[in-house]
Amino acid sequence: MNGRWFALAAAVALLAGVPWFGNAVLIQFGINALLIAVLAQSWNILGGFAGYVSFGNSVFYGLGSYGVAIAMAQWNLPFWVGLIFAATIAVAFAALLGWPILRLRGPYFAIVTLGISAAMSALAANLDIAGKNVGLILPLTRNDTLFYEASLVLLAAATLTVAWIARSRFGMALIAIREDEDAAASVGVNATRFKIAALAMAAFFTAIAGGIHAYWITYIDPAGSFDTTLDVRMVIMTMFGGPGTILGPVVGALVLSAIYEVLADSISKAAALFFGIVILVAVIFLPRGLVDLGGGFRALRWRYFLTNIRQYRI
Amino acid sequence: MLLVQILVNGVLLGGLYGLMALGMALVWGVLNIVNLAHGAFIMLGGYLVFFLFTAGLDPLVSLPIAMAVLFLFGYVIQRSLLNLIVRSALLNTLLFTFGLDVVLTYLAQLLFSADFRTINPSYAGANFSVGAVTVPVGRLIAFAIAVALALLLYLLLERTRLGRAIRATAQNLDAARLYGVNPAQIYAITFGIGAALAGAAGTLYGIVAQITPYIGVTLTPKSFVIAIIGGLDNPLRIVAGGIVIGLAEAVTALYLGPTYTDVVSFGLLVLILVLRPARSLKIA
Amino acid sequence: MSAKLFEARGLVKRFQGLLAVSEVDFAIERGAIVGLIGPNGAGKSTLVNLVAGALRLDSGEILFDGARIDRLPAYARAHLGIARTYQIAKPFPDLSVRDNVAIGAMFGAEGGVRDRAKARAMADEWLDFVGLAAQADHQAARLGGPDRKRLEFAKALAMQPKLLLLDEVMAGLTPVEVEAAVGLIERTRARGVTVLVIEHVVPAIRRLSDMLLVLQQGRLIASGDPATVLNDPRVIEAYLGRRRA
Repeated sequence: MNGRWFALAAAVALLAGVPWFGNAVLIQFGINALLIAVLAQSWNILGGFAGYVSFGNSVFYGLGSYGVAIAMAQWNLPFWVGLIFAATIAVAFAALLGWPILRLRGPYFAIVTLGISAAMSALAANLDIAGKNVGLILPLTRNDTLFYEASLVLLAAATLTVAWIARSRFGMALIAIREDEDAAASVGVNATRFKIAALAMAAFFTAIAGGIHAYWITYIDPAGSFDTTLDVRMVIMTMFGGPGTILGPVVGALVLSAIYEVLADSISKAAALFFGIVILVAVIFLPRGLVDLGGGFRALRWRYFLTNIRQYRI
Repeated sequence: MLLVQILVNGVLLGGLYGLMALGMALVWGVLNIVNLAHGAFIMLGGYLVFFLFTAGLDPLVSLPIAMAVLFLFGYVIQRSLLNLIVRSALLNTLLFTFGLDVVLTYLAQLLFSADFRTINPSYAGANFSVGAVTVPVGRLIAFAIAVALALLLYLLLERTRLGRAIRATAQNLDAARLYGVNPAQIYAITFGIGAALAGAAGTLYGIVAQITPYIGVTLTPKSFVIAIIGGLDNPLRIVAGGIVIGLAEAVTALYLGPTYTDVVSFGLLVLILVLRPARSLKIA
Repeated sequence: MSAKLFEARGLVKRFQGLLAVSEVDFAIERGAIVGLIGPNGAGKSTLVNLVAGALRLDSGEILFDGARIDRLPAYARAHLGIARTYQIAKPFPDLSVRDNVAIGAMFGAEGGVRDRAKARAMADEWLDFVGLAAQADHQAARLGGPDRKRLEFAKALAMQPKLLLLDEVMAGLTPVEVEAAVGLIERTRARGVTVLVIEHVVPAIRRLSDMLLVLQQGRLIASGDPATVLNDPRVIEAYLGRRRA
């Protein structure tokens, strides 16, 4: 155990030190990668642990972005107040919306979130409240290092939360729901309440990530904030890295972000295609994600990749 | 009178919506796969016919071609890929088809660009009047074909050997096996039929609306809603479900504005799912 | 505290026109072992599902500890002290055997224990009680049939229930295993748990039960002490089939 803790601490220290030995491009890549890792980790709470796949978490990201933007650009409040405001809206939205839609079972919930994401996107492009569809401009603060470290701290907070979930009674409830929701109910788990709590937690971190991003890029518009490609990426990164694990989403996000960066230089648009193929491959060959690959490969060698197929093919 | 016009428009569009949902409902009911790439199949059908149209083929002639090509496409995907994981939790096939949707959408964007395309044969723009109501010919044809295909599907499922095999597989895989049904084959054929129906829907959609790589984003959830309203067993009930949604959208567009049509559709979805427990649906 | 822990009054459940349970009335005394038998399709599992809250009643009342519970969802009934096993065991497949039982301890009666470590310790005790201590660390999905039933049992007991519903716990067991199961159920009652046992294996049920209920096509056709019930000609005809004269 000690070895792993040390390695983890070293990794975090390394990540924290990037602004000092990396160039501007690396820092910017870092901010984006860290923020998407937060999204993946947040998604992991409901999606990985409880098994409820949401295709609509980008809504919370958008609410977070606009929450901070409205607070800072229109009400002249400081950043941290904006973040609190943004997080509150997102959590309230999660609780309100979650109450009817989290009574639904997995696949129904998934499609409803798909619909909500699509509807929110369309709505955001047409509503007037947030700056007449021209977007909002936030006060400028040029300090990439600050945003980088803030993103890292947020990721650490999200990951620590997931670590707590993995060891707590709350986490056991979510896992029970994922494994067998009927059996969980018969054992005394109030599934709806736990699911809503999980969604609220996901909304919290996702919104703050959106807020940090908004302040960083200074200008937001509906299309960029309620961005459905984020949904695609956070789902794929978590499923690829290892759903229901503590580090899976982080690993998945950082690895895939890095690969995407590299590919984006050589084959521009096709790199986006890459994500789709990743999940196709991952669902068939890597059902437990990258994080499980180490141990699984050691035990079964190449047969590891066939276990999923052998069990579920027709 | 405007209301009647709107209602007519809603019904005509609704028939097409029903056709869209047909393929998804069939695949869901038989294979227990919710195909999130269904909208992308519709989109591909539309593009195929669009390009054939620019090459001179009337869309109604290309419709069977689109259906055949998409049938093959769906068959191959099911046979080679989906059959590998089809018996696992619904979640896995959901994620797989999600990835497929992403791949197909981006490929389409890459190959066809994001420009709006329409298929406009000469008769598409024409219309005739019944009293004070104007009936667009394009939409009427789309409606007629949609209903015809639904009827054909119904007959296929009820009256043919293949249809019986499909229904048997849907109800009890092991029992069907005992009767000599080859599940891998039936699954692939069913998925192919679902894709073919999507292709037909895409063709008609291209005539009455515009095609972009992203039309699948809203059409998939919409098909899902209609499949739920109509239930997964009867094709004709699904067309009816489509008409319900078509009417809801038309009325919303009139009274609230076109921006809110999606919101209303999905609001309806949530309402229906929350209020009506899924009795007729096979989902675990 | 009344002697009746559980009362069912006029229970009715329909499935799309088919009457699965019809006007069922019965009561269970505190500390009793009540057996429920009936031919296949009689509605036994439906009845269990109605009592546990997995299915909603079409009409009728269910009283537990004097209070009506028929409007409560399954998890709330679990908190009140009703635990059930499933006919086809439903373990949490990816979790260890110990964690499966620990979940029962964590969410059972009165909301369960909060501390995970404590729940795991309690789980170990129950695993010992049912004889699964050796498999505590195994993945639940790997267990074979009889062990899965033991796991169901332990999980239900970990909930510290007042009423335990056992749904065909002895199906598929060898005679030796049936004996073990009977012993287990008696020891469970000795700990103060009231038990409703749904079974096919009649000899075992006959020995075990204080009271026997017989269900046929959704109706309760006999109830009372086992010897009398099993000699009732209606029961013999319904359950065992028409024998040669």
